Amino acid sequence: MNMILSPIPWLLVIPLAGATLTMLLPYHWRSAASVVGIFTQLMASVILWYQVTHYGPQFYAMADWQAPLGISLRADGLATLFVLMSSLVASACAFYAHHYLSLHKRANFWPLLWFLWASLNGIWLAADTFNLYVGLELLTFAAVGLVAFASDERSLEASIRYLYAALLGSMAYLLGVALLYGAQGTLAMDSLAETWQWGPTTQVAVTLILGGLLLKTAVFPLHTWLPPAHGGALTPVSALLSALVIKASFYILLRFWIEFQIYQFLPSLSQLLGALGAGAILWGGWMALRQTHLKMVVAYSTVAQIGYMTLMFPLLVAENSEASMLAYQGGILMLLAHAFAKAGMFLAAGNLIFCTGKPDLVSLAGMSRYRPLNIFAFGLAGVSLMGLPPSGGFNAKWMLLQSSFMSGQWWWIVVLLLGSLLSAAYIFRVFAYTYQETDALDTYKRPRLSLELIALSLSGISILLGFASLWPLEMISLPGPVMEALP
Amino acid sequence: MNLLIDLTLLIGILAIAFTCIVSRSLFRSVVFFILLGLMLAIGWIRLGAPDIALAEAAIGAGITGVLLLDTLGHLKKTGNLENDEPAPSRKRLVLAIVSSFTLVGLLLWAVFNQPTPAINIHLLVTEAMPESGVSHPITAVLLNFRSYDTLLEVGVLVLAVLVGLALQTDQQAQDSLPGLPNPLLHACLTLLIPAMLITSMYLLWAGSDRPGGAFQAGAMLAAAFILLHISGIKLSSQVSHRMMQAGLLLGFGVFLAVATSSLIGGRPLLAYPEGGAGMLILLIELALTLSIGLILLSLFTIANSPPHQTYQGGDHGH
Amino acid sequence: MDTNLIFTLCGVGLCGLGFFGFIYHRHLLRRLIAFNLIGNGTFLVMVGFAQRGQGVTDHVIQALVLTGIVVAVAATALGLVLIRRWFQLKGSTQLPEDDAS
Repeated sequence: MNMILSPIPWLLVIPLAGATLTMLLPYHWRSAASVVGIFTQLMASVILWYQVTHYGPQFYAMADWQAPLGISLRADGLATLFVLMSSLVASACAFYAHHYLSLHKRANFWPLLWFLWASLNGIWLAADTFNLYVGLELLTFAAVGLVAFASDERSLEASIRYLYAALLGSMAYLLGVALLYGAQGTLAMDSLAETWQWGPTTQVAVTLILGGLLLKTAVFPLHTWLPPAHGGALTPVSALLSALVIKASFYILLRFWIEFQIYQFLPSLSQLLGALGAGAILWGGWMALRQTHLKMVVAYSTVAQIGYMTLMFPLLVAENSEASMLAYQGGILMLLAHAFAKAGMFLAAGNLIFCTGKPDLVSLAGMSRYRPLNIFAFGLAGVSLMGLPPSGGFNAKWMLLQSSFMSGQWWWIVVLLLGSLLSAAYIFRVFAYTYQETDALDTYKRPRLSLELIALSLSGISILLGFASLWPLEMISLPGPVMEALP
Repeated sequence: MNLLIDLTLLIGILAIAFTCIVSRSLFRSVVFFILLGLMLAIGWIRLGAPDIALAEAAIGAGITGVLLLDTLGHLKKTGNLENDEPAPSRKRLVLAIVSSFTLVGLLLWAVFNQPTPAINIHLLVTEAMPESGVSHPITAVLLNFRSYDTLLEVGVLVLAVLVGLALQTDQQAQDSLPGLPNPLLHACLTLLIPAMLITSMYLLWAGSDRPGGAFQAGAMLAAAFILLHISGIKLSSQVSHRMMQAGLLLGFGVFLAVATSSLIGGRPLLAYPEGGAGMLILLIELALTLSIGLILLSLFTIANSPPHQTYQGGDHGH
Repeated sequence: MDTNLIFTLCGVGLCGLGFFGFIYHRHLLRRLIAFNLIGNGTFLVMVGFAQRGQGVTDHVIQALVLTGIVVAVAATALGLVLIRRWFQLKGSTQLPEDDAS
């Protein structure tokens, strides 16, 4: 295929150029330039999706040097789905931010968003372990900058905690990569998979990489940095962080786990991951139930939802290919549904806080009468997070249940059911507050309709995923490195 | 003999690092950290990595050290340094000891069971060198074979400055270091600054066939800028905000433009045209050197320059 | 014992010391220094361990370490900017102790 027609380089060049331009342009031009960038990004993602579904996985040799000497990029079904997901969520959050932030804040928001977007695309498409390290660092810096962006005490504290955790996580990852390189002599994922040899060195490398990525994904009990960061950031930033940023390290972990067939050789480590996931589901749900601030409820819900995604690891079992396939598909669908539902929920929560001017739950009284549309957006997202039908969250949980049943690991079924009860409890608790009556309605501010509509459309997609689950599932089952490595 | 040097370095480095971590005085910790950087530079030479030795001395020990010392000075001025820090709890001590011993144990187990690597990249490097446009392998890796990493890495640097600038608020206290109006210092500077600039240019030029390159040259340039800054000659007040911002972004912009131009020529991203690699690499390195110098200077000045001299919000009022 | 092995071990030691400091200390500046020690240790392991396996000078891994050093200085600078803001706002050199969260 002609190199100039491939959308892969443009998915990186546009956001990087966007970052440069939005730093240089005068303030009121920055939004206009960003809108152009967003549309070209969406277009490039759709073209990539078209090419991958029609011509199979795409490979791209950066600087025309083939791996392992150079750096290759690859877009298989999984990567393409993530590119599409991040393009949709990031665009929605960008438009929300455009209406939500003041001119001054917005001007500084754009370059950070563009760097964030570039690093996300870079990570989805990467096929080189060191390149992933640089991508992770770029992502960390952009995310920390965005958290600190609220520039109050709480967000500053959260950003410092976040930076320290993320730096330690990437250093552990880099140390693991160093050991892998010493053992195999290559950094490219494909050649690593080909020459993989189990031994003490690779086992320690995997442990370090696992530890670093778990810390960056905020998997229980390494989650303590997440709630203040996600709960304390500005609303569009919270949505971006919960929906996309934590998925990046999870995605790398998943690729390592499947492509290097770690699930097959270290099944006890997979069980450990499952146990951590179960802990996250229960602890995150319980803590969400005890929060007094709306955004903290949503942030702890993220901790719990990460747990569901982590449950797919013990369900990837070499002996049962059907159960493994269901776990893989269910886990990815869970991640996808969470991305849209959580972004929608954070934005809806931000709108509610904007109305009352107070971040706590008690102030939500009267909201279901005053802002029904917004409560509806919050509710739709809640349906998917609880896993009620019809929603993407329901289908995902159903597949995970079936997979645990098939592989005879009934204990995960108990965890899944308990987790659903907990999420129902913390979401209905929020509702209960909004149904209380109050006479303070006339002091409430009115958010723009566009802000409510953006939240509603994101939550709506998480419900639509319940009807159109087959489409993403077919996409991630396209032939590619991940599918080859699955049992 | 060589073994003796290596073992001495090993013991020295670990002893310095230990002192750096456990020292009660924060000032001593920072000084030992800088000392550690210098020892490491010698270690890098022993490992056959003079490029890293240069970078370690200039960036790892030099710039990081200055940044830490400057923050320390800031702490001292605001009275936060002599605070009696409560000693961390016993629980923390046990946790720290257990985790660090586990880590060291795992790493030792991994190191002593190293398999023979299946792939020898250095053979591929040797094979591809004639096409790279430069004759120094590290420059070839950084700016040709794996130039994509380097592009993102420059992005990381730009991003760090960006976050710093975005965080600057008008309430920032005036805590800049006062200029040092010392005639002797200025006399020294008139000699030192040109020498540093020449060294920087030499490092940049040498990068194509010897150890050196944009990062080391940029660090040297930054050192010159910071020296000027400390002695009271503030670059940010000499040039306009816009100029400064353009300077910060020049390297990244040129790199990205060269990368994208290859797309328009029908080649993959970052692929240089036939025979043009050497020239383009030099162009990128030249722009990068200036930008890295300015970026490192900005990282130094961001936190301590008084608000009216900063370039944040520079185009807000016009 | 060859040079590569000695410096790999040196890197392992630095990682251990740095990791200890990172967990033990609460002072933000000390933790940042500890992070830099882990970084330096990692870089030594990268080069020493790779060259020990390959048996020759490995320019690829040396170039990666150059990248790593630059990223580390950027991380340190970013951390210092945040820490200074924190000093200004709170007058404290450490974060409040984690509650049970």
